[in-house]
Amino acid sequence: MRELWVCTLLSFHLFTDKGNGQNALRAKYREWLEDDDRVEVRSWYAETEMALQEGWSIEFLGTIDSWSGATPNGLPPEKSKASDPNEWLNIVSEEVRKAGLFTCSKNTENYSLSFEYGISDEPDYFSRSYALQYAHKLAADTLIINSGFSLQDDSVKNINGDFVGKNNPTLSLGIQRVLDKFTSIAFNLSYSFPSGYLSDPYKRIPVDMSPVPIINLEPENRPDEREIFVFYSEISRYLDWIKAGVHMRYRYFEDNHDLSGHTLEFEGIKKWGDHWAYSTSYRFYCQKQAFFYNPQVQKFETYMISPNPTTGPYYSADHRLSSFESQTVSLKLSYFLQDDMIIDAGFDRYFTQGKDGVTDQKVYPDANVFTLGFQWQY
Amino acid sequence: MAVLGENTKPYSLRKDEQCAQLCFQAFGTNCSLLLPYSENQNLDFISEQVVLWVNNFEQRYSRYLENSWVTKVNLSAGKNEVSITTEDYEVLRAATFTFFQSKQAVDPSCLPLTQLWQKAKAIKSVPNENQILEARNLVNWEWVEFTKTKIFLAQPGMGLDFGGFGKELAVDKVAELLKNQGYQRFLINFGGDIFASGEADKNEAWRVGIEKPNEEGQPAYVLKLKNHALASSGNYRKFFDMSKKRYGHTLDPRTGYPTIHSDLSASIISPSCLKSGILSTTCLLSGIEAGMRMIEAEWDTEGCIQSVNSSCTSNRFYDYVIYEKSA
Repeated sequence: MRELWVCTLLSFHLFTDKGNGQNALRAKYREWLEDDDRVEVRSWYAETEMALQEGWSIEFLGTIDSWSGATPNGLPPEKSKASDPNEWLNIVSEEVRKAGLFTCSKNTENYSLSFEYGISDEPDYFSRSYALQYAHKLAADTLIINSGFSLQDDSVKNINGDFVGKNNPTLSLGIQRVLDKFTSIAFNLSYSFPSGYLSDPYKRIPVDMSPVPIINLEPENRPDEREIFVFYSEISRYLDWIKAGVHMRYRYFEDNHDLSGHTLEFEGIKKWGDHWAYSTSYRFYCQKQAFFYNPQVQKFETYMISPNPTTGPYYSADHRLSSFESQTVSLKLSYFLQDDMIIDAGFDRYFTQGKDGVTDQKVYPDANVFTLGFQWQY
Repeated sequence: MAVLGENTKPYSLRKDEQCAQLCFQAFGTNCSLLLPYSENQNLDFISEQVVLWVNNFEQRYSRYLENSWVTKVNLSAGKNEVSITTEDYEVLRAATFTFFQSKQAVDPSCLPLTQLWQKAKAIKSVPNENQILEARNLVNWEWVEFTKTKIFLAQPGMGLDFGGFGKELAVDKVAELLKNQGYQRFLINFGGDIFASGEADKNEAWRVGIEKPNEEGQPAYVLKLKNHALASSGNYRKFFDMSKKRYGHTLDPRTGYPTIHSDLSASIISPSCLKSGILSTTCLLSGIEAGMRMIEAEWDTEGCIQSVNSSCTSNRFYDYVIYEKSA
């Protein structure tokens, strides 16, 4: 969940509509509410961008998340005791995460260069990130070649209460092309190779402790190295006949643990009168499970007491590594107070469903997401 | 008082107003079983079954008995294999679980060290370093070779001693026996190793006390238990003094010496008495800080580690507490 929110933070920063050489102020409030009193996250974002001299600009994004609720701990729901039917859930009291991202950019006719430093702090997870991006502009800015390197350097509290390291370097290469005044396309390839403590200390596997007549939850064991490839493509087109913009995005990822996923998204944006705009989107995601995923009760083996993430065996019952599908439908309304001042409100509905025929459907959450935003360029 | 046979133990079955209480001696301590009344009970039959099972368990796995299976295995160390039954294999798997769950702090092959320190107590002389090293070199559960049908102790002088976990395993197995016979509500207490199943009375969990170190009979905490076990380890009563030094009775096979934490007691709640027992002994051998971290890392496990002047409890220990003695 934490990695999801760090990525969301970066996505918010990278993909929001930015001015070029302008000052800007943006704020957002988001609530993620899973059904059945599962996870609840409240997030506050604030971002400021300031244009300096000679093409330089700086940005600062701050965020506070507060999250609480219940997450599956690995015990199959049907194995919960009758006296405690929610035994398969870990109840988490409120945790607060604070994060900040600082970006310094230089924009010229021929290129743009940016350096980012990010920091994220919560009681059991501390993260620092560094990123360098270079974009070369060609053909009067209609062709842009992007490249980037980022490093995420984390300290995670493991199952024994010790802080251990993990890091995630990423290389990326992309291209954006304006085909005509109404159409643009973009492609991006990235390669990440995280290493270190990659298991989740809150996720366990169910183990039959026979001859001791109990089912115990032992710590999961994920490999301490991983390789991830991501392909991203996007096409945007303005449809003059209905005065609306449409975007289609496709993303594919796979890693060396057999985990892979496809994402397909359609978004339409239309202005409505002088002051209103609305956008709707539909997103579909399907995932194929990691080779070491197994939600079923396993027999006790001695290596489970001191798992070895380098040599294995590997095992996890984290449903986020399973085969599943999700769909998201979104609606967002924007109101232009002035040309350069916008407020918006959005609602997303998120559905998930397991697809392996083994994992209990109860572990897959559905959620409502509410967002309020404000943007001012000056 | 009833007696099952020549080689079995006598027991008593008392019928109070609300429940029946079975009492007998085993594992060198007082053992009892509380059974609230319900329909279709045959108290005499189940009492016999429990006492017979415990008796058979002791006869087979006690290292003190000349004709036990464990003694036969120990005498065959370094010489020949001994055949095992399905039940023996289960006990050996429980021993393996004990060794690894305790991170080698409880070693079921620790007989050479146990015997060395028992002799030292008897002659009131601390063993020298060479003697301890010699005994330690014969202690390693990973050298015990067993399959589903045979067991072999690789070196002469090696020996099995299930005293570190046998009683707690017996609690779990008797609980399983009772449940298989249709009993859902009972309290087993083998010398302070406890399993509470179901409720004592309508909507009332079983109440169990944890003693305060050095205050015999005074509960530091009273807990409500339902479908959970409680096991405690402590050296504040069982210790010995030798050469002006106090030694706890719990032996650490990793060092070859009795624990230095002689003033601590550890009490663990978990779904299994074996697991509670292993963790309580390991906490005692590891000290308060390492012990608490161990408890917090386990699922559905809570505990407290007490010294004479202080008490540390895990995060959700107080979910079980209904009374606490004020300081």
